Amino acid sequence: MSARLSRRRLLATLSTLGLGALLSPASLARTAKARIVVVGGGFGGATAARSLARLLPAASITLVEASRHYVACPFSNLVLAGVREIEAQTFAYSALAAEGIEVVRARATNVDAVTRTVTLDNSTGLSYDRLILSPGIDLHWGALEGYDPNAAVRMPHAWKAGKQTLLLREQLLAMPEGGVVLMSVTAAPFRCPPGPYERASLIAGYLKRHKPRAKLIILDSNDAFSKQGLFQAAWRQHYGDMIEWRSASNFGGVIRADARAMELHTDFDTERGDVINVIPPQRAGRIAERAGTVDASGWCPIDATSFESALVPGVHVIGDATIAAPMPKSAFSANQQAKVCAIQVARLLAGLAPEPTTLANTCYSYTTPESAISVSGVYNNADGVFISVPGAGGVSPMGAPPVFQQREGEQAADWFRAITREAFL
Amino acid sequence: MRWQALLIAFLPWLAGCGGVATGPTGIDQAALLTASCSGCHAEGGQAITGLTGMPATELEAKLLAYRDDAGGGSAMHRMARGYSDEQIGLIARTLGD
Ligand SMILES: Cc1cc2nc3c(=O)[nH]c(=O)nc-3n(C[C@H](O)[C@H](O)[C@H](O)COP(=O)(O)OP(=O)(O)OC[C@H]3O[C@@H](n4cnc5c(N)ncnc54)[C@H](O)[C@@H]3O)c2cc1C
Repeated sequence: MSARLSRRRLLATLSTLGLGALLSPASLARTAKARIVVVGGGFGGATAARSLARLLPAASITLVEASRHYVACPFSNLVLAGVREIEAQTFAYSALAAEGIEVVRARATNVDAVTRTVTLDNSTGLSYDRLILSPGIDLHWGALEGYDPNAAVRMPHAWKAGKQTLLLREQLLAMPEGGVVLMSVTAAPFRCPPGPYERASLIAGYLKRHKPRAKLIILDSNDAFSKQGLFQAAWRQHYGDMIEWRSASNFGGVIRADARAMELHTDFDTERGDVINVIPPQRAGRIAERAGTVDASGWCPIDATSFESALVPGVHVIGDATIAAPMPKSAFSANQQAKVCAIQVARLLAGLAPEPTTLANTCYSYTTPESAISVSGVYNNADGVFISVPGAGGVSPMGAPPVFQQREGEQAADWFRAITREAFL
Repeated sequence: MRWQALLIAFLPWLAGCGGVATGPTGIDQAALLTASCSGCHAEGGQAITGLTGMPATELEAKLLAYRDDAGGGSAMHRMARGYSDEQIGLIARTLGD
């Protein structure tokens, strides 16, 4: 860092201090001793814990994460296509621990918002002044008839990366030439709106290379999807008629899964698949419900300025678990919401009101292993709600030359490196 | 008491100099706005520019050019259109050298 940049940072910090100097000694002491618990060490939670450790070096920051390693979903569709290894998706928490964050490997099972305590599955309790939940999604087993954890062995979801990703990859590898791959897409909202269609693109790419007579049918419970025009143009261009997309009004919506028969039932007919990927109904991670932060939709209403739960004071929710539309359920959103939430928590602890700002998102999707398309949005979060900034955002230009899409593919790779470094490395 | 305030405000800045800590460096509007940048522009990549060492005036000019180039289709063009002159100035002064 250059001396000039340092001076600038110093000045920025001093302006913060100008506000800080108005605080009473008691509130400053509280900031120093604050106990903050973060549940979930994904893109949201890991970034939140690191940001807080930096902003409040004297506070106690605890990250509760059920798994020893994090396996990232973004880019996991490249693993399915056989062009990337799962190791490149896997991250440890050692860098966070080295920064003074207490990383506790346990599952949070309950939250008592009155006594401000989180209970863990090892029966210990953690007290907090502020709690941040970033538990991601839970698959809503049974919401699609016939789809339960047993069915997910025969018909993987691969919507949480890891074993499920490898299972689906093995099934694709083992599928005979000329076989049929079925994908079922649940009704929105779900994690990563363009994700199913990126997956279809990359699976088709694998089939084209290794099983060119195979077919991929997407049975969709939606009538439109993210970057639809761009995806469909790419499908025609790269995969001919290998991918068939059946919309909800075209009887695409799956109402029952039969894992034994390897069949998906729609209102209209029954399709048999050699490989079946079910992207099932989803809701906020269970701990969000235990904490009382979930409403009837299955997701968490929040104040968009502070990310504090609209239902439970002292508990903030970020990432996929939240109702943040028009912001999508993406790693990009979760990471950025984490930084903004950390700042607001630091402000609240210092006795300052949360401050509205502007957030942005870009989701890249690969249509081949080298080229990508993207969708962006910019959002103001004043008055507790997200509003898209008019005139901003939108998708990649239609009909752009191949080099433009290759460039977006390179940007996506840089994005993955940068965001995983910020969250985990 | 002032001293305590100084300590709380300065530690993050000092940590930033070590090049290890990650995340926002302050709790003001500059830190809030630039939370949108660091997830991509950590360091330079092959297709996303690193911002370390870029003069603030150059950064501001680039952001304004992205915003005002009506024909531009990159993600940066599409996002820059959501920011005011004042916001772009503040981002440039915060991240630029
Ligand atoms: C195939 C696919 C492709 C995707 N591609 C992209 C992409 O290109 N770009 C993009 O921006 N996004 C992408 N996403 C979306 C992205 O993965 C999610 O939006 C992001 O992971 C959300 O972060 P989160 O912190 O909310 O949840 P997660 O990342 O899921 O993290 C939640 C963490 O909390 C832990 N946890 C949950 N409950 C508990 C508990 N009770 N106690 C302890 N720990 C708990 C879990 O173990 C997990 O580690 C993709 C998703 C999929 C499925």
